[in-house]
Amino acid sequence: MLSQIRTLITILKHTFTPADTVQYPEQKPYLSPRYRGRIVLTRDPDGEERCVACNLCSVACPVDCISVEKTEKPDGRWEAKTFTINFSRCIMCGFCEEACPTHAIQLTPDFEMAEYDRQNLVYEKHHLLISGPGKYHEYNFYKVSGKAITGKAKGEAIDEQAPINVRSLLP
Amino acid sequence: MNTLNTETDMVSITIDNQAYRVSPNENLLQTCLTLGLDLPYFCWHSELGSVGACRQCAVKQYLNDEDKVGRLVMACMTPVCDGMVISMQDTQSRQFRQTNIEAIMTQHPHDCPVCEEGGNCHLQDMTAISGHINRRYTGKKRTHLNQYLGPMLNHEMNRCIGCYRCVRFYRDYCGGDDFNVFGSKSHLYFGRATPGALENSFSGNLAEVCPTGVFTDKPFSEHYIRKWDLQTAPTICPHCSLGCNITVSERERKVRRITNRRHDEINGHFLCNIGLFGYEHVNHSERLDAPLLRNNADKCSAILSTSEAKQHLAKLLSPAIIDNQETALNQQALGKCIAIGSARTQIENNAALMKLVGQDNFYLGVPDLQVQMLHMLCSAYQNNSVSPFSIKQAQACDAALIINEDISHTAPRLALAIRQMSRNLGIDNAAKLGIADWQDGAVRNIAQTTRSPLAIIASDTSQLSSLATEEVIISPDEQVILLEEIQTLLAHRLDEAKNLEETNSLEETKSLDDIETHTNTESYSASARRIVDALLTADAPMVITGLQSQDPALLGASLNIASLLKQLKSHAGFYGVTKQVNDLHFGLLIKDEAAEAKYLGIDSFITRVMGQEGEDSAHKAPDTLIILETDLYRYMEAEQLEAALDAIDNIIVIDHMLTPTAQMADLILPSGSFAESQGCYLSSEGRLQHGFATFSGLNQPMMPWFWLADLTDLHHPAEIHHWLSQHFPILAPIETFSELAHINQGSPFRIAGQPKRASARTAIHAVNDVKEQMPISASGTPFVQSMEGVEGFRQSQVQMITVLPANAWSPKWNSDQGANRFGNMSHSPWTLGITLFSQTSPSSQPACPDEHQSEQENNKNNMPATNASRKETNSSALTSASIRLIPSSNLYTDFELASYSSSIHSMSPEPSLKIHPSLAASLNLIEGEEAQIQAEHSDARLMCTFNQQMSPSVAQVPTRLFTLLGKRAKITPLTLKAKEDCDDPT
Repeated sequence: MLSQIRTLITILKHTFTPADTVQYPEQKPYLSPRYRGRIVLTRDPDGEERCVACNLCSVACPVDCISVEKTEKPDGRWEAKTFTINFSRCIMCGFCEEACPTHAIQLTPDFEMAEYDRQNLVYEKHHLLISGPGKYHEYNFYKVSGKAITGKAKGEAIDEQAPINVRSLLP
Repeated sequence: MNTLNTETDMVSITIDNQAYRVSPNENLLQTCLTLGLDLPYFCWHSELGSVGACRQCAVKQYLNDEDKVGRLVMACMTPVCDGMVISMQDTQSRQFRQTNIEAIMTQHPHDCPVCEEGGNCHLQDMTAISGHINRRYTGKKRTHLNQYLGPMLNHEMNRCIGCYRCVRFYRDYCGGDDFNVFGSKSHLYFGRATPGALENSFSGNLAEVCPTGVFTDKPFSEHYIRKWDLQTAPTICPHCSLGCNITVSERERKVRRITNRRHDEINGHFLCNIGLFGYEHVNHSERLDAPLLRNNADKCSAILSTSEAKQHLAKLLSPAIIDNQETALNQQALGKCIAIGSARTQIENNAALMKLVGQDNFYLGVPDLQVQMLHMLCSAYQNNSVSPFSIKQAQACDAALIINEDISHTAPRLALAIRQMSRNLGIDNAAKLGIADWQDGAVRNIAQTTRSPLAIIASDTSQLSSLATEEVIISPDEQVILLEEIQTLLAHRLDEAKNLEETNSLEETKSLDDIETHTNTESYSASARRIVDALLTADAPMVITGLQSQDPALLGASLNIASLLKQLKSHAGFYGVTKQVNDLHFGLLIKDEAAEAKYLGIDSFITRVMGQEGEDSAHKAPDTLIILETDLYRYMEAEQLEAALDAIDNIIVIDHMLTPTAQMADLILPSGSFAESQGCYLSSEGRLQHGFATFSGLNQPMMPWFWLADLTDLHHPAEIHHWLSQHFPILAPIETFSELAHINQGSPFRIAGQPKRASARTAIHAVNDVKEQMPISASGTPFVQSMEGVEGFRQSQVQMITVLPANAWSPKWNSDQGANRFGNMSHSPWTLGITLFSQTSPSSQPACPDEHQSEQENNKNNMPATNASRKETNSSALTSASIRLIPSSNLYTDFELASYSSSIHSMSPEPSLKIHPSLAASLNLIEGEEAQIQAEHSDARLMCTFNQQMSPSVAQVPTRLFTLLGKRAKITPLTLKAKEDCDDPT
């Protein structure tokens, strides 16, 4: 008897509590910036592509849904000739973002990617590339790395000495 | 390395309280690595030895079991001795190694993502093994400017860790002098004095020798794939005749790179640049990937499907084949269908073609003269009058005589072995002082310029000249005389030895000695005597020669010398360098039932087609020709060749490149390149080796034998092997490789072609179709084109066909160098090959020199007959003004398939006529101006360059032109001739 009354009270109480569900799609839920949704390729603060086609995202991917092919630009930068993500296989685990040494690949809070045709879930480089730096505003890989590119010669990266003059006799 | 050590030679050592039985001849580092322990190192290399420069392999050595303090030693500098107590895991040595690598890493640039070495980097592996994770150094990094080092290597000096391996390899091991180390302490710079292409033909190995990414493979970088994505299979290098073992790496049906596959008997750790970079023909735009049918009416070619092509082939061939069979039945030798075999395809393909047309209608795809020389080599090997050495044996021998072969260009890996061979005396001297051969610095210090005897008889200096203890630069004609002198001297010694055995009387030998010394001073040149003395004081002398000169007389004399030497010294050896990857087996395919062998080469083919005077007219003219993977334009002058080809109605070419010959075909059938086909190769030391396909061909993975299968009724390599061993008993061991017939797709013994960590499986083809494809299935090969199956490094444990290392990877050792820790672990024929002319058989051969003498005389007599046309006109048309031509070989131009690679093509020198200034003066030639070379069949124009070092009676032309021009030609300055030409019409 007592338990039945308790049940009734509980149910009545819940009738007046606000609902956790929202009226999606009219109403959008809040997703934190660290939410793991659609994958994007970002650019460095200078507007150059961050991806250097190192293939680490590809090898980290547990479902093998990222394919990258390397090419080299005339200025010495490595970049992806092709960058394909098969989102019909992607499990949004974020390992690729963790593996990326240049903060190029990032997961965003966007999850609205449903398609009627599976083929449309294959994203290529121009679908993935965005124009901003994403979550990491300052990082510029080539400013840190020792590889010379046009506009940043040897010794001009952060924490680098000027190139050694091999012909100098000074100690 | 010394797997043959018996248990009694072993000593016991204790490493981290674990007892091991090990070989005492090695240093502690090598021992630890062979035992499979993970001890980091940089400067050591199993081929270059130890110098103790990097201080990375520190371990703790204890005096005995009671000693608890111990001392740090460098494992690479510590010899293994009995009862040694070692610890790798104690805190102090671990910390030492970790601190050391931390110091090394302070200067390392932050560029692994954009480094081609990433994922294949010894430095990455060693850093991970030693446990260094966190960078504490906050100072500035030193930087260096890079250099241009040619089309094969990238240079990125920032990555250097200063281990000195590159200079030790390039200068000490390969003898290069255009690369060095500059500066000191952290200013060390490894490079050239001025930027430019590295000259040494082994420069490409720097990419592998360097433990990090200072030198990286430039052509690989252009179609770069990380190591974990590469699909690999073991095969044989398709260029020169040495049969080096390689691993081909592929992704998306494109060959990405070639790496050395360690075979201790042949290539060891290093491949020449041709082997490393000569693969681009596989990816070339002139690759044939579909059957093409010429349509003369519309002046175009139609692309056929496989079944259409097979129908066409049957339609073209059937009447001719039936005719062939009829003629064979009627005891008439020659039929309507003839074929030309290939020196660069697998043995199976030639066998199938030979079965199809019959042996009398099967012409070998090299000039007659070369066929003759190959036959001479093969018969010498077969009757055991000379023992063919492996490259390892060549490296271990203690005196060598190189006769008229520029091995630095025709057989580079052999030249590298000879370079090491010349150090043997120095190594022996060091051994007398108790210094082991792996103590590289000390041994070199003791040896200084001590050289083992190396005699070179040639018409020009070569890269090995600086090592020669005796070098004779004379023209080929004089060489014959010198070789005869050497023969006579050796024969004298042999008689003397025999007499000694027989009589054993002191007085007689004395008088013999007197006679000999008397005759010596009278008739023999000093160099001949010095060469003979050097060869006879050695324990295992060897003779090296080859087919470069296209001179059977010289080859005969060289074989005679080797045979005499073998009778005097039981360990004496021989190496005959042939010209293409698989041409030695031609020498075995020759029918010599009759008194004289018939040398059916390309010259015979031309004679057959053009018809010969005096032959009966009832003789059938051939109307169908099948050319298998041979570019005839490389051997014959275009005019002569085209006249012959025009006389034939149907020309069928089976090839993988659109060669000029293929352009003449009515029907072109594509075949697989070396990377797409499997089969057997016979190297010039007589080693039968099997290569596997890395991937299946473009559209139609067709082996040439497969095209012919319906007509020959040989539907499987095993059937071809069986047919071969029945008809050519010497090739019977080829049936060992038929075992593959039992390997099928369902076999539990499959080997994964891809590493377990291969990526992008569900994305790489998704752009075309999101639905994933079935993995490609190929039967008859243990290598699966996917990651399914046993991993490469585990093969030896489960695989019945052991082909280690298919995939140079083992846990913690990601870089290719990790695989070099171990030697050849398996002794299966799949890994080692089968030596057809086994040296283990007893060397007692009676009356061999006489046989040889007569054979050589025969050859001398035969030569004008076989090469009649050329010789005759030589004497008549060309006056005494004609000059003897010799070939100037060049690694980068001589190999047909390699020259499709742009990196190799760009290294090839301008063709020129090299001539001694004195001869040039008598011919009115001026340096830097063109000269006209007029031979009997063809002519050429070449720029003159003067060469003081070469013999003053000959002229050097590039090998390709030499093949076309022949041995003699008239040389005139073009300027005069042009003047005359201009004058004539006016």
